[in-house]
Amino acid sequence: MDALVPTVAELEANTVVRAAVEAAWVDSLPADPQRRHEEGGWIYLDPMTGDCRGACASGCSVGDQPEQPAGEGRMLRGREFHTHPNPAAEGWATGPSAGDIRADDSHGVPDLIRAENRIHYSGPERRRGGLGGNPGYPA
Amino acid sequence: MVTVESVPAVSCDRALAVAHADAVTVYDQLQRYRIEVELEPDGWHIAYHIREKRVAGGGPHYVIDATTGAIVSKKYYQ
Repeated sequence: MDALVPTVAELEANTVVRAAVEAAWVDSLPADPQRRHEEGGWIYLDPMTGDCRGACASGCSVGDQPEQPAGEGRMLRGREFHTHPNPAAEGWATGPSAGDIRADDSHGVPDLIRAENRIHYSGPERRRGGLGGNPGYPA
Repeated sequence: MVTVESVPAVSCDRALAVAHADAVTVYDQLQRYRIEVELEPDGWHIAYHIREKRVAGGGPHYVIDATTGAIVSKKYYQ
């Protein structure tokens, strides 16, 4: 079953995922020093096929944690993503913080972090436990 | 043989005050962070870490000169 769970690199290349990540980046207002902020969302996997659907981005703040997208069948949270809109030129680290790494390892799902220079990875290579387990984060 | 460790000219409290004065200009809600302080050869290392283990995010990290109290380096984690 693990073979059905996309790796972090495979998901980065997925058009649904890329669209969600880029929408979150735009919503972060990275060019506005006064209003820039983090955005994020979750990517859900169909437990039967491993396909990703229901990516949640625009208007979905990092603090929200829906169990699954509305209107979908049973889906597993397979990945999360968020933005780091603050620029390196102002002294910010654009990659994952120690807290990001710790939280992503605890959640058991990979994290895509969109920053000004690239998309960084944090957490496991793919959803811990494959397509089994809880619909939210794996146990 | 007796090792005598020198006392830094800039105290831990003073270094913390320097770091905090900068951090409050950049981060909201500093009460969300725990603070680690270590005296290293290049100065006081002060790192703010999110308290909650399952919450992502980062805080500022500083190196404060233990002789002058100046900020040698700083990095803001998101």
